[in-house]
Amino acid sequence: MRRTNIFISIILFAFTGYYAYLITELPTRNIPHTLGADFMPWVLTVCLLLLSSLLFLESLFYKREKQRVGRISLKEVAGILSLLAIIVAYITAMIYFGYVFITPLFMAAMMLMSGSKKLKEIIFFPIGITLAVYIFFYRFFNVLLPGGKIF
Amino acid sequence: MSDVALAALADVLRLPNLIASMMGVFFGLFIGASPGLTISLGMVLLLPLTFTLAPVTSFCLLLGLYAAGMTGGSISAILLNIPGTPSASATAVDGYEMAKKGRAGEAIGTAVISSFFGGMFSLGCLVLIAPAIAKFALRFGAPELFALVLLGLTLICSFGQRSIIKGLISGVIGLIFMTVGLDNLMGIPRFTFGYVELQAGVSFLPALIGLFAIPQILEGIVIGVQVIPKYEAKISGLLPRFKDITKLFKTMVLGASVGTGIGAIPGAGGPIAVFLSYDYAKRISKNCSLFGTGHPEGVAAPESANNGVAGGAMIPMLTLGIPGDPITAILLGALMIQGLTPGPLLFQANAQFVYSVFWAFFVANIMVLFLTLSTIKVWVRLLQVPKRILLPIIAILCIVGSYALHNTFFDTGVMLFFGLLGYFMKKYEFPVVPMLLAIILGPALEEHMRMSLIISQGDPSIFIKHPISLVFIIISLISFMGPLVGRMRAHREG
Repeated sequence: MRRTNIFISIILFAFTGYYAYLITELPTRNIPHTLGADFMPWVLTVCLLLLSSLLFLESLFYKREKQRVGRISLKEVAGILSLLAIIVAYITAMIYFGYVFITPLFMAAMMLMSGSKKLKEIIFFPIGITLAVYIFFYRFFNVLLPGGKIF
Repeated sequence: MSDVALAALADVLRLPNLIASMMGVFFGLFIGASPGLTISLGMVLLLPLTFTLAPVTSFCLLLGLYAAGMTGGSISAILLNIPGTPSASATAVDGYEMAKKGRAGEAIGTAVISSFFGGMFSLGCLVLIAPAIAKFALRFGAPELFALVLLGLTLICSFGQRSIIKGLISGVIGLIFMTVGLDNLMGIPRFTFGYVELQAGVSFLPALIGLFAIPQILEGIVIGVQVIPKYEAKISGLLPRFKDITKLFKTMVLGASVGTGIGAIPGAGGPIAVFLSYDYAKRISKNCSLFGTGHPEGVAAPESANNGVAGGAMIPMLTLGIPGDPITAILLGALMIQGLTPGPLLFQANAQFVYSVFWAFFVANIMVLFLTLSTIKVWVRLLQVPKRILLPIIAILCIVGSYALHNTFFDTGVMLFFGLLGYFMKKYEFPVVPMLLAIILGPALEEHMRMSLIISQGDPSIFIKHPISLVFIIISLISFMGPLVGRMRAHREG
């Protein structure tokens, strides 16, 4: 965990630097006795810089019990990326085909990823849930669901 | 009873509101009873439904979920020894032992009745105390409000369980996200990167959904599905005898008092309250040696405290606009979605709504009592819903819910961003609750600070010249330093 924390504090330093750069780019407007729009961001920059330094120093000098948490395996990264890819594909497809047509496919894909193996389950649950959400959200509560450009 | 209170009661008893309460209770029982699903997650999943509802109806729905979720957590704790919510952990100690001895029905019955008692007790306290606090808080100006919000933010320290530094970093990053958007005083766009959608700031609902729900989906699907054991035995004899309940009265009063008191302290939370009440009940009991072996008092004390927390936590939320825990932070968000400003002005400008909240909580507690006892066998079955079905449903609700806010996929992108952030934060032991608090309280902090400095013409001593503000700042410092000192002392003692 120590190495991971050092790595995280370096990322935080970089983020703080980038945020500070963005603050300097903010347009200014001088009104007497009024703090500018950049005041709070500067306060937060200083806070984050201080805290990142504390995390860095703590990780460097304070030996805690050895922990294996925080390691991300390649399998995990691949899992996250594939799940994200499915979600992004679902959202993109929804823009064109709408909620009702695409959601059963998305849910079936998610169920397969979650370890579902029964064919009946993979077919009927997605259709049932999609319709239930449609009725509940759209018909019952008047909450708009994504409508596609094509359908 | 005043006309306003009666009008509020009539409003809550309207059919759509009763249906909303019942739906909230059913959903809350399911969420509470399902290990791994939290009440906060249930709340964020239901929030998108509240956009189109009237404020009272949406609070009937959410408070039904809140009260039922607290009670539902005990079902899996008693039957499977897996607490459905962290607050049900203490119930598992004696509840599971009772279930092993074939007294599962009695344990669940005791838990439900104690929860009802705790809920009602805390509601009584809420009704009596809240208006007085709100009346006092009406004197607050910008410096007092700034100091109050600051006090709310110092709770961040109590959520940095493993590392206070990480808790604070999480809070500061949350505040940084809240600087995105059009600056209220100057009208200058900040960090919007040319996106019109960002001019109104980062929408907190997609952020909440992302932080709470997406890490759970990613963990469940990517890391693996957790298998929950099945409860096979029959459940019978749900209702304890009247004589047995009267014997538990003292324990329930103790639990409810501890729960309400702890709940009203921002940041203390349910788990502390239930273990404290369990401990106190054990100390004052004549049968203290039976605790841990399946004793009804060991179920009654934490369960009454559990639901006592719910009413207690609503006291600072409604009167001062300070959320005591993640659930009340989400409730605060629900108020904002409805265009209502939490805090003392709510009692003045929307008195009927405040009374409706009280009544909605009352009705929710009654519904929880009857619906849990009459449908317990259904919940035992639903406990077995496999995660391979549950997680995709949650994913769909997250995507649809975040879209529904402004009918744009931009918010879905924001939700995914916060979801990934939440996942990695959890992975690297950065608590997400401080970020949630910062997202909710951040804008008010900046606004009141800048307003105060405009009033004082740039003189920061305004915050200590005002006595109430000074008191809040001192409490903030104590609240900030307390966990730090405690951690240092624990470290020195090894």
